[in-house]
Amino acid sequence: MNSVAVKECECETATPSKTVELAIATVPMQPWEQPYDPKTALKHGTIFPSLDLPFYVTGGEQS
Amino acid sequence: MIDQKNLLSQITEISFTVNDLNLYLDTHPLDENALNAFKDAMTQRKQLLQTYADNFEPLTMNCICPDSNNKTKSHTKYPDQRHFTWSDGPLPWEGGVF
Repeated sequence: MNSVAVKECECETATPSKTVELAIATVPMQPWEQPYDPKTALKHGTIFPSLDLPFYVTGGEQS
Repeated sequence: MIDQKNLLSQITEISFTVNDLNLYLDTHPLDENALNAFKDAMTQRKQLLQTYADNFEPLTMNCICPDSNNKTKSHTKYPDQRHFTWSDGPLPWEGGVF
């Protein structure tokens, strides 16, 4: 995972830059884990703690 | 008296969980833990939807039951008549939020 994308330009779509690079994805098979409770899951956008990851393509706050 | 807003939030929350479990089970159809979690979540969601429909308006087609819906006569044009309860409850643009 490269560093968090720093908002360099106003453009919404991410274009390759120092901090946003192209990549080849290797995605392992997701294992089961104890899910969040429903209220927490809805707030975090996933029931799986391991998938509770930041979306930082074009900036965005640290929730 | 049942807190309508709170019940609706619970339905939203459990529905999200059911949906995420569904996505996981799409790719892990034999996962015992996921199957159990899905079963529990679905049971909870059905109960909450039933409670909501009994007391207020039916939220899904499956909940429509003119003879048992909307005990509190909330937001209905036909409070004391047997009617099709699908039209009960505020519409989305009237503040009704699913």
